[in-house]
Amino acid sequence: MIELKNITKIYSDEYGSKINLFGDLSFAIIGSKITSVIAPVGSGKSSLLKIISGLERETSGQIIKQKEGKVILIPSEPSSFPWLSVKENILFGTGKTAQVNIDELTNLVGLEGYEYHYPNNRSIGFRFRISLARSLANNPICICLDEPFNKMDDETKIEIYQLVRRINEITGITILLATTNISEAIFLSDKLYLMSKDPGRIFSTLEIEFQILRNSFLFNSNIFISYREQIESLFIGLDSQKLLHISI
Amino acid sequence: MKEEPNNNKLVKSKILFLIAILFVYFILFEFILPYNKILPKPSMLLESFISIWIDYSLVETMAITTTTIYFTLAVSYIVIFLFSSYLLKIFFEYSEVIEKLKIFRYFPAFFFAILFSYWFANSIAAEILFAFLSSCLLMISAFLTSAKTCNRTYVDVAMNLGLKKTDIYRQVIFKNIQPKFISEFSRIHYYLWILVMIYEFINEINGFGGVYRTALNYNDFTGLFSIAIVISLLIFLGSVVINFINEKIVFWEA
Repeated sequence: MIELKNITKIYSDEYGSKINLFGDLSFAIIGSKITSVIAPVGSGKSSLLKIISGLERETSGQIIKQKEGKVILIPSEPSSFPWLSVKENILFGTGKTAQVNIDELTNLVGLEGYEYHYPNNRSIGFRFRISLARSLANNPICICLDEPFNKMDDETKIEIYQLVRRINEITGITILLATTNISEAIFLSDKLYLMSKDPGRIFSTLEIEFQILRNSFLFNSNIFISYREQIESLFIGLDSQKLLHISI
Repeated sequence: MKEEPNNNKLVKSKILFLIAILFVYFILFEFILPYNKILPKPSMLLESFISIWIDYSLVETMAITTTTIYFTLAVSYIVIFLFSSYLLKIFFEYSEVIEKLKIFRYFPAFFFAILFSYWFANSIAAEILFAFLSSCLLMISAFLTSAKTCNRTYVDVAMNLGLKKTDIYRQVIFKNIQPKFISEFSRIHYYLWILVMIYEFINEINGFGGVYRTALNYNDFTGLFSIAIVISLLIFLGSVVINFINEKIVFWEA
C-alpha cells in the first residue's frame, strides 16, 4: 500500500504568482489492486503521478510506502525507445545483474515473437505493451498510468484494459491510473477516487465490483451505467462536468 | 485524388530539368552568344574539362581536398560521439556559458581562415587542423541545437527507472537527438567544403581552393567553370554517401 498524507505542490506561474496545485491531498493506493483517480483536465493528475513515482518533489506532506521498491510511471506519450529492440527496451533500467525472463514477459504482454523488432512506426498499443513489459521487468511495487490509452482506437483500448487487468491479477502489482475518462476508470478499477480542481483534493471514493466479466459488453450493463451516472452526478455537483472527457 | 510523386519520379523529373537547362545553355551559348562574359561556350567547356586534369594536376588536388574534408568529418563525428555525454552535461547545466559563446557565430569564417594561416605555416597538417577544428565547431553547434529538441518523456522514463545522469545523457538524450543531428550532416559537409576551399585559396596551397586561385591568376574563365562542375559533383556524391550511411546508422525517428 502507498499512502499519501496532506500532499501540497506549490509552483510559480509565468507571472510569478504562487499556485497551490493540491489542497492537502490525502488518499491510499491499495496493494495488489487497481486504483484510479478521476479528475478534470488541468487538475494536476500528471504532477500527482510524478510525485508518487519520485520524478517531482512535493512541497509538503508525506508519502508512505509499505514496501521499498520502484514506482514506475507510464506516461501518456509513447515511451518505448525507438532505437532499441523490444527485448532491449524491456531490459532497459534492469541492470546487468538482474535476471529477467524475457520469454515470460513477452508472453504476458502479447509480444511473443517480436523480441527483435523495433517500436519505431509501430502502433501506440504495441508501444504501450513494451512500456508495460519494461515496467514489470524492473520489479516495481506500483505502476502508475498517466492516461496512456488516450490515442488508442476503441478496439485496442478494450484489449489493453483487459491486458492491464490480467497483469494485475497474475502479478499482484499495485496499479494506479489517473484519467479524465470515467468509463475507462470504471472498467479498469477496483477503487476510484474522484478529484476536484483548483486546488486538487479527493472529494469522493467509490468501490467498484462486477459479478460479470470485464469485456466490451460491460459498458452496456446496468451496473456499469449506474456507476457512471453516480460519478457524473458527483462531478455535476462540483460544476466540473464540462471539463471531463467521457467516452465509450 | 492526385498521387504523391514517388522517389523515382522525383529523380526522373530532376534529370529532365537538368537536361532542359543544358539544352538551353548549349543552344544559347554555342550558337546564339558564343562570345560573351557570362558563361563559357559549351565546346570550350568540354575541351577544358579534359585539359584541367593535367593543367592543374586535378587528381592530386582532389585527393588532398577530399581526404582533408572526409577524414576530418569522420574524426570529428567520433570525437562528438565519445564526448557526447560531457557536451550534453555542459549544455544542460551551463546553458548560460553556451549563450555567451554564441557571440562568435557572427565572426566570418573567412577571418578564422586568415587568422589560422597567420598562426601556422602553410602545410597539409595546418590545413587538416583547420578543417578538423571547423568541422568540430560546426558539429558541436548542430549537436547542441539538436539537444533542444530532446523529448522530455524519454528523460523522465529513464530517470524513473533509476538511470544515472551520465547514462541518461549517453543512452537516452544522445540517441533521441541523433536523427536531428545526423540530418544536419549534409549541411555541415557542404560548409566544410567551403571553409577548406577558403583556407586553400587564401594560402594558395594544393587543393581545390589553391587551384581556383591559380585559375583566377591566369584568367582561365572556362577552367573556373570546369573545376566548379567537378567540385559540385564531388559534393553531390559526398552528400549521397553521407545520407546513405546515415540512413543505415540512424533508422529511427526523433
